[in-house]
Amino acid sequence: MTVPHTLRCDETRDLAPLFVTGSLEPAEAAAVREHLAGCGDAHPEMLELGEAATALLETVVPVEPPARLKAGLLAAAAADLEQGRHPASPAHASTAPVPRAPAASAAREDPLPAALTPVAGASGDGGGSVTGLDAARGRRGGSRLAWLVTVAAAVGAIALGAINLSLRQDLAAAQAYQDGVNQALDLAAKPGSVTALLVGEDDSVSGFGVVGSDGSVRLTMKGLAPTTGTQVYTAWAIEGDAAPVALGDFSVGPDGVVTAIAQSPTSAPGAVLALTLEPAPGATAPAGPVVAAGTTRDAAG
Amino acid sequence: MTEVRLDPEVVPGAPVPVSDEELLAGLAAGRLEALDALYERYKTMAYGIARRITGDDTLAEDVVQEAFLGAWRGADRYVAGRGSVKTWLLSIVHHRSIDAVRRRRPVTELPEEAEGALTPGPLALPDVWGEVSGRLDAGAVQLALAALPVAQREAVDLAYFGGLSQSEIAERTGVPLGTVKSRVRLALVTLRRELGMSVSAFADGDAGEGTT
Repeated sequence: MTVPHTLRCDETRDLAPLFVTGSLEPAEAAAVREHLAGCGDAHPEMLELGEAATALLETVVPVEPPARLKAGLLAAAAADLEQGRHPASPAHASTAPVPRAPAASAAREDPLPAALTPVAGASGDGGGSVTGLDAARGRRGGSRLAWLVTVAAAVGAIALGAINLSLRQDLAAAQAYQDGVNQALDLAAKPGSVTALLVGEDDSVSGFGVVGSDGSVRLTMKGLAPTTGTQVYTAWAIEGDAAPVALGDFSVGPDGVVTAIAQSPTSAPGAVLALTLEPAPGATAPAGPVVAAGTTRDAAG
Repeated sequence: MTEVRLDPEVVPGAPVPVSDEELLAGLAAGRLEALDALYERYKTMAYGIARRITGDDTLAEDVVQEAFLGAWRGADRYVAGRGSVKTWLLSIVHHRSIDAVRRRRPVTELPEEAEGALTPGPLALPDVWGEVSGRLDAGAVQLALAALPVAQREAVDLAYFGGLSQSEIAERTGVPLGTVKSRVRLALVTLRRELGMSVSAFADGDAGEGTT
C-alpha cells in the first residue's frame, strides 16, 4: 500500500485495527499518528479497538524472568540518573525539580563534576547497559559523585534483590531510605569522606555508611528487624586490631529503615563499620550478633 | 561512649498499600525503589508477553529492560485519563516486542532511527491503550477469543502477537489485504462485545468488506 502524505479521516479509521495491533508498516503507522495529532475528530474507534487489543494481553501466560534482568534494569536506571537521561536526575537539562533534602544544596559548593553533564546523545559507549561498580570506578576521570551514585544504586540493588523489600506495601519506607542515602551521598561528596557498604550475612540487611573528614557519621540502613523491649542496634567502628568503639544505639520501627547520625573517632579508610543487635543500650563491647558490616574506603576511589 | 551522640531519625513506617499510580509518580521522581516495585508487580506478565511475541528468551529480556527503561524515562508523560498504568506499561512491552521482532528481520527494514537499543524515545510509548485490561481476567478473554471464527482468531493473533505486518499476514494466510484488515477489525469488535464493552458505530463501521 502506498502511504499518502496525509490521511483522511476515513482512511485513518480503515487502518485503525491494524494500527492498534501494531501491524502497520512503520510509514503507515507514522501517517496515522500524524493524522491523529492534527485531527479535530476524537477517533473513538482507536480507543475502542485499542482496548480490545490490550485485553488480549491477559491471555499471555506469565513467565518468571531471570533474576539478572532486574539487576540490569536497576543498574541502567541508576546510570540514567547519573548521566542525566532521567527527567528527575540532577544533571537533566530540563528544570525538573530534584527530589532531595534541602541540605543537599548546601553540599553543592563543589562544582558538579563534568561527568554529570547530560550525555544522552552519546549512547554509543554502551551507556545504559549494566554498570557494575568496577566499571563505574574504571571510568572515573574525576567523577567521584558519579561513582557514589553508582554505589548508591548498588546498595539499592543488593537489598532490593535480596529481600524483595515489602515495597509494594511500604513505599514510604523505601522513600525514607532513599532520602537517607541521598543525604549520605551529600556528605560522601565532601573531600576526605570515606564510605562503606554495609551488608548482612544473608543480604537481607543492607545500608550505606559515610564518615566525613571530621568524623561525622551518617548511617542509613534498611531491612533491619524491628527492635522490641530494651533491644537496640549498636553501631561500632573498628580500626585494625583495636577494640570496637561504640558509636551509639538506636531502635528500629516496623519499616526496618533507619538513618542514624553519630561521631566516629576515626575517619581513615579501611576501618570497619558494624551493627550489632544488643539486648540493652550502653554496650561497651559487642555482645549480640553482628547484623551488618562493611569496610570504609576512600569515596574518591 | 560518653562522647557519643547518636540521633536516630527513626521513620515511623505505617505500611500503606501503594497504587500503580503512586509507583509511577515515584518513577517520574527518579526513585529506583518505585521502579523496582513496579517491576516486581508486572515482570512475569511483561516477560511472558515479550517471549510470546519474540519467541526468544534473550531478546525478550532486552525488550523487557527497554520497556521498563522507557517507562522510567517517560513516566511523566503518562496520562491518567487514558487508561491504567498496567496496560500502559504492558503496551510499551508489546510495542517494543513488535519493534524487536521487526528489527531482527531485516527484509522489510527501513533505515534505523537514531535512537539506540537502550534509549527508548517518545515513540516507544504506546499510542493507544485501555483501562479495560486491568479489570478483566484471563479466563473471560480466553473464552471470548475461543468464540471467534478461526480465521478471525488467526488474523488477530498474527497481527497482535506475531510481529507481522498486514502484508505479511496476507501472504501467510493467503487472503487479500482488505480481508486481513476486516478480519482483525471484526475480531476486535467481537471481543469487545463478548467482554461486555460498548461498541460504537465507528469501531463497527466499515466491517462490510471481504468478511468471508
